[in-house]
Amino acid sequence: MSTSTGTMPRPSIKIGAGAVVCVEAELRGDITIGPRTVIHPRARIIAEAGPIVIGESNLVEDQVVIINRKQLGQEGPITMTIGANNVFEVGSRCEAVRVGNNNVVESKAFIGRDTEMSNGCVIGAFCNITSHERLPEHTVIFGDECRRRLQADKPQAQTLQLDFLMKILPNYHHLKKSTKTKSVEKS
Amino acid sequence: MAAKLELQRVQILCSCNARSPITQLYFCKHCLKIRCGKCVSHEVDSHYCPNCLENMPSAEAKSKKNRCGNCLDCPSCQHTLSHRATSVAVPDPRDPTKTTTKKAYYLACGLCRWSSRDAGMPDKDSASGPWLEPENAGARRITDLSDYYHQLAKQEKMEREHKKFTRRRAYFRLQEKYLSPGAPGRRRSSALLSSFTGLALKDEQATIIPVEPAVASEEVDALPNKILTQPVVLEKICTIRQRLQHPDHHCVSVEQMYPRHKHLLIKRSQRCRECEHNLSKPEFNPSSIKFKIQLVAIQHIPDVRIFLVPNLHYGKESIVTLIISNPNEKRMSIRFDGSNPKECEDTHATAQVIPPEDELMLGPKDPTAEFDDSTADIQYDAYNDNTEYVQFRKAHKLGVLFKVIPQRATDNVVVVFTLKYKYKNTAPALNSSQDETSSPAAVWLEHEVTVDIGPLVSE
Amino acid sequence: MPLFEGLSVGVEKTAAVFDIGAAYTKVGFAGETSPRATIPSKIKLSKTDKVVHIWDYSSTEELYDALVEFLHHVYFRHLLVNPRDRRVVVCESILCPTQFRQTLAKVFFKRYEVPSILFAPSHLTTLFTLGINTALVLDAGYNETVVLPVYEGYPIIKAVESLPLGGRAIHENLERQLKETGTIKENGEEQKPLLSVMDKIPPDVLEDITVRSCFMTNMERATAIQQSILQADDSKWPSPAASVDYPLNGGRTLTMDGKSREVACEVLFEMDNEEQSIATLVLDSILKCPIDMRKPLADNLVFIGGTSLLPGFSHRLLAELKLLLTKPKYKQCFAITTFKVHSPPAQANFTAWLGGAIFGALEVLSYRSLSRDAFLQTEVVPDWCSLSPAITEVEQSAAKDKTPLKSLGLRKAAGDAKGTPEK
Repeated sequence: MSTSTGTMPRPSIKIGAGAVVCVEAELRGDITIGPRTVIHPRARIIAEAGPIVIGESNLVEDQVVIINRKQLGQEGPITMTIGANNVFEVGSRCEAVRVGNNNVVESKAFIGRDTEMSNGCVIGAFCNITSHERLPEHTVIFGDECRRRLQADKPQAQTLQLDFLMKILPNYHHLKKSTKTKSVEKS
Repeated sequence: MAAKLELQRVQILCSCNARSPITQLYFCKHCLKIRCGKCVSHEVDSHYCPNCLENMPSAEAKSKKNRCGNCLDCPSCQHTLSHRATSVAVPDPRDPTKTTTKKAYYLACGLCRWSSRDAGMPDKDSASGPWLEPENAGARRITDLSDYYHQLAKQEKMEREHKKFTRRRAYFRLQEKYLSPGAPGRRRSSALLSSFTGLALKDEQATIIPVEPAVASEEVDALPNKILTQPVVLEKICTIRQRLQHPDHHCVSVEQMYPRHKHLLIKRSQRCRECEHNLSKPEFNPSSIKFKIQLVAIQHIPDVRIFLVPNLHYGKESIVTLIISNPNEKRMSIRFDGSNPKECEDTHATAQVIPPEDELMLGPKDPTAEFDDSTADIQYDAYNDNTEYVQFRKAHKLGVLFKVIPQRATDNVVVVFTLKYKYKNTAPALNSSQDETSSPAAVWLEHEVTVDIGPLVSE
Repeated sequence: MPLFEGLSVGVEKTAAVFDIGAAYTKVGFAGETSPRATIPSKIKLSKTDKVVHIWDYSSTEELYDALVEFLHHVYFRHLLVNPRDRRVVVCESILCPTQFRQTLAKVFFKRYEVPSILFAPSHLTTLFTLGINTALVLDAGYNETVVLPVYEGYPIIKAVESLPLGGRAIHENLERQLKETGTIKENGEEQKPLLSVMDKIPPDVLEDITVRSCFMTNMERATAIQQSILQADDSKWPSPAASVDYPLNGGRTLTMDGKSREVACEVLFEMDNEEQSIATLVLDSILKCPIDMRKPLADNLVFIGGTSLLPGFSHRLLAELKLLLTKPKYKQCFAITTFKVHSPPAQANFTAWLGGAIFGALEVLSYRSLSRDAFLQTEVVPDWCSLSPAITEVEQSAAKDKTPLKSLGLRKAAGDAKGTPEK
């Protein structure tokens, strides 16, 4: 982890109301975090190639890397958008530029930049998805061969877990203030 | 140094002429022979479910077709399913305008997230109780057919008892020989199929209720048009593995998949084929790794390990130290024979070996000694070890010097020698009534040991 | 099936029924309606840690070792019974090599000490699932398709017809098609030809593609496709089925056009150099039968084997047969105009097994089986193609004075033979 942020443009981090973002989390670049989203202490969100916009009620666990990576020959910033109610489990890595709503990225899973997550998808533990496609809604990818199936319904939202974390995390961690975004919204 | 993990370097010739490391061998105390996994008969000992680790009596296992009553497998990925409880809102039976919550149970897979709701299976009210498996659509018909053939078979059996000899018709010879290969002249066979074709001609078997023969049809289902016009959703079509899980009903689409009960596993016991004694019998409890009977070779025959190997040169004599250890709690005399005993040309020895000529004595094994340093310096002098052969002695172990002369310039140095040891059978002899020799008197046993000492040092 | 369990249990345990196919092995118990397990006919050898196909052997020793481990797996992982307690029914192709059945018998009798084996021809056992005794059975398996007429319970051996057309041929054809037209999409935008990324497609992927996306097209389309290929005119091709994006793993997507999906299975009906296809097998087989048998056979067709589960298979085969009847080669010989097909009460891939299971539950099984003692006397499995007299059971007289001593002697002999496994 480099600490030399000197060359980076002045980070502008907007944190929505009720979001819990631990101070220890590494946030680099232009990042917007929606309301009621929980970012664990050792998560890394790195906006390299453009801003990252994370929506409402997402859960980003420890050791997760969400990175908007600079591509060779890229011109101009590309915004990475993550919708609402997504769960990134411990140790997962997401480079996908577009992530819809209600997705689950299980532990140690990897999503490449060319893959687009629609809604209600599940990337199973340790699955490595780099293919250039838009995953159909409610796709479940699982197993070492990245087998696929379609499920009838989207995965359940982790509301209880989010509520719990919002209560417990402030007891043990310093949080980044979310006031800034409020003022931005008001202005 | 050959540790227990380097199994392949010291191998012992089994009584079936196969070489295996000592850890894979059994020793039959009753016929005093070494047996390997290939020359013992394996038997099903007890059934258990690998998920709930519940022992199942074999009669119950049979009636449940070797499947666990509680655990189910995911039809999509064959992972174990778990029961999930949720509460659903149902209209109150007393007051239809209100709703109450009710516990509902369904099945879900932790790996692929399949759930019984995906398959359209209704939720259950209680956590226990069976999940229904669909019936085989053809079962009725198959039963009818079986009943019919049973009648024929019974009749044939009766006929067979009535007349042992009938005239053979030459035309049917090929077929007879074919269907059930019987020697001509010996009335051993008449094809079942032919026997029931003959039936129609016979009259007295009015008791046989004929089965409706299958009706062939000229029309068969054409290729459904939607295959040509609609896009394929691969995720909705069963893979061959998913289909084979359900031989009873042909599922093509994933919506038709039903969970199956988990297949049981077994614990096996091993039995000596010659004397029919058990060599290994596990405990019933599925989570126990103990054995009721375990006659493994390592507890009965001396173990040979490589201790010290000097640089080996082609054609030059070197001295290799091997450790011979005694598995018994009594002293054990051992001898070696380095001349290729059986004159067998298939031996893969690449070096000549000159083992000690004298009889050597192994100390008794004392399991407590390994934890007690004070016994380390007991009087080894009593053994009168000849330093020409014995490098060191420690408890039940003996470092023995072997002279080795590599005779092939390329391969690894492999030596073969015969290890003889005086074995005292501590088990009560069960067959003592038959012969007196099986009294606990010690007997000399021997087996061939192959040791791969290692590579030559390049000149 | 409580009824016949009750009948057979009193006497002895129900027999184990095996159908060792080229691709999949079906195993289960007599008297049941479906096999307990359908597993690939391959096994991981403990000696080398390599997975070998049972039918891919170069020597008897290799086959012996593979069968020993395979049957161990079957008995102790799937059937969960002691091999010594149960008779065995083996459903086999009548074209099964002698080497194979001989080795199989040796493994069963010597290694697993089963009491008896019945080698039942799969075409014949199929009839037990139908309650008829005349039929023309077409078995479309993985390696080959074999047609055998059975008339009034008698297999007409001289009319057996076979071609190496089956699942394997389809997979090979599919691979050829995909190498020509398939494209792969990796992380970039562009589609690349398949061969630029991989030079071989793993067999299980081919199988999965066949199972999930290929089909046997109907007659009209097939004719149009042939025309189009012959005249090299793509415009004649009927509007193709939808293309399929097949995810190979997390990173690659294989795109297969609708044409490949349709053409892959055509190999079964394409005439080869000798003008043969699986449709001509049926007609040629009927032609080899006496003239009075032909009509009943044509009225009783049965298609078995996993390959015949392809969507549209039966329909297409019937259409092909009818078309062939108009061809000059068959026109004069045949007075038949219609064909009728049976549908057994089981899936085509285990119909033969089911027949074996029905037969195996009968009381007469022991009369027709090759007993262990008889095998140990000669060590030869009697075969329809060998003319020498064969023994299936020990001579009655011998059996009579089979004192314990005698039987002990037999066991001893068996034990000695075991002592030196065929290495």
